[in-house]
Amino acid sequence: MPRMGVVRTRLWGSVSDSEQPADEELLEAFTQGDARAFETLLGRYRAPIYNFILRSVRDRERAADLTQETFLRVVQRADSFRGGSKLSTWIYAIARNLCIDHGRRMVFRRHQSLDAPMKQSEEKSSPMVDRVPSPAPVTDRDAIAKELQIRIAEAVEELPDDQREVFVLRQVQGLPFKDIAEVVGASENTVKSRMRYALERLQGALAEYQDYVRELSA
Amino acid sequence: MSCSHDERLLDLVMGEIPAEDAAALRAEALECPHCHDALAQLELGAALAARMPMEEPPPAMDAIIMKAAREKAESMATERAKVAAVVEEPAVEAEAAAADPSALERLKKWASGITLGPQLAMASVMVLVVSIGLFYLPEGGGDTVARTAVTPDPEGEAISALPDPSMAPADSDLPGEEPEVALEVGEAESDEADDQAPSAFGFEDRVAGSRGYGGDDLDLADARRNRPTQRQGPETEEARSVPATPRQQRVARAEAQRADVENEDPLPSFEASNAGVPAPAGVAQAPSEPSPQPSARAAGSSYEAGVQSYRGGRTQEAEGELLDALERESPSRDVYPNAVHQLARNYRRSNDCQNAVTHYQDLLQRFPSYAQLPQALVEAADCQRRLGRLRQARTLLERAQRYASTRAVASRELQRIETLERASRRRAAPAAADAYEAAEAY
Repeated sequence: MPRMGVVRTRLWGSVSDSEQPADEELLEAFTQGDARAFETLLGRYRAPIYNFILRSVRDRERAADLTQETFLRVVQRADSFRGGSKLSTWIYAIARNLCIDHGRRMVFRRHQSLDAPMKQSEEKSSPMVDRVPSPAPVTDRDAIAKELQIRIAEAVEELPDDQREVFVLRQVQGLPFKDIAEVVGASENTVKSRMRYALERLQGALAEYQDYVRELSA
Repeated sequence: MSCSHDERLLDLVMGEIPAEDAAALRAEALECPHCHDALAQLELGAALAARMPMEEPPPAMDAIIMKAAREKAESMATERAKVAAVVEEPAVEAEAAAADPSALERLKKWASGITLGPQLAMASVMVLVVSIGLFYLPEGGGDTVARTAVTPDPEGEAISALPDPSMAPADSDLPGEEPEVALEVGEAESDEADDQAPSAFGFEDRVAGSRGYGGDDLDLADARRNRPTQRQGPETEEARSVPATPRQQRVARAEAQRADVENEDPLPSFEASNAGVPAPAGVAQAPSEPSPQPSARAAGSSYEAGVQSYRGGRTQEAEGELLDALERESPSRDVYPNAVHQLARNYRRSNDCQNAVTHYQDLLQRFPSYAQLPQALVEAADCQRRLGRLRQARTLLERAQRYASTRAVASRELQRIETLERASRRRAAPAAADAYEAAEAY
């Protein structure tokens, strides 16, 4: 089996450059009246938070609304943040709570028609009839990569909620497991366990792409 | 089957294990068939996960968020400025006054030149500073500036240092009013504040001229205006020659008190400041007062004239002049809130509490960062209490409690209101019909 090495997690918005001010410093500057500090924070977190919410609510428009609501709440409560936890976990906790509230509301409102797309990823994916495995060998790497992304998105959406949120927090923001545990309110071991199950499910769901991925990772 | 490495494989794949440990763990895991397979699976899953597509959020939401952020930033900055203006500035001033670095540095240099070493020089300086602090400390001997240097809460101390109102002579009350502890405190306080608010009546006139009653601070200008003619000589002399030591100060103070008693003049300055009130017997008010009208008019604005009239006890004139000042001045000018405050005080002194409350409310709402806001809160609470609105008074006092300068007096007044409320409740019960009177007496 080829060695694939350590996978780098995607660190959208995280502060990897030590010269950059820390999130907490930016929030402090904001509470002192510096709106530009918040603009920097927004730049760091807007995409990861949006993607985190998008994977949860599976609807772009709602995801945008909830992302906006998340940041508006951060703005309103900025002066109540006491630094007991990291700012990132605080923001994700707000976003997660909004998603949970949204989910509760949708339980009573969801009356989808049978022909409506079941998932967000289906909006731009091909119809079911076209998504059965093709017997013809796929030679176009770009086409495979594009299709793989769609299939990954679908596989992520198929994950159970508890596994999905852990998986997305890790992949989208690169949060340490300890911080993820704080966001979701579970122990670190539980979080790791969920992550492991999520990876195994993903790998099982995308078995047909294993060779392709191994080839890329080699 | 699993082995000891199994639990750490996820950390290894996710890059949570330091590089030096990771290599060893990987080598060990590859030797175990179970770990080898598990690691391969996890790495494949992670490689797939890394290809999860990320989407850009719509840019439209940024504008809405940033608009809210700018508004919030502005409000937070304003709030901080307010707090800084009311709470921090006195502390900064006090610190600056207490430890002028250049002066200290000079003193240190001088001390080190004549003593054995820098440590001794520093110790000498500390002793000197403490001595100076003790020199100006309580016993009524310190002037406001000196006490500002010792404590970051000069106003609070000045207010809390006011004597027990129950010790006040009966003739210090305003006519037709119940015995008002808060009024006495408020008046003394407001007179002190009068000297702080307008730049035209600054601190330079303040001296260590304590009179035992009425607070430790005494405005020399007021003292000159208000004292009877026969005592002008000694008083002026007292004011001019500030005693050099606390002991001398106490002696001078005792002499002054004796002179007051001999002249049957219990509260000359305090009474005069409560102008509009018939002067008690023995106080030769009119002859001793310098005529304020020409100087007030010469001083310039209607505001200054209004302040002078207020100080001279001519509340009707003061009202007209202050209203005139408000008409002429722009609300954006610094003098405007001062004039509103002064007008409110004037109404309060005239027992027109309803009008006073209206102007205090105007002041508190329109000028939330006004420097004398805490005092205005206490005064407004006094008016509300006099109008029988205990709940409103309580709200104002609770707000005043947040400021160091008025915490003590506000707490005292809150206790008083609680007593009144309790008494009022008891009074409602037939068995305790006289409780209210007892509370009133308190």
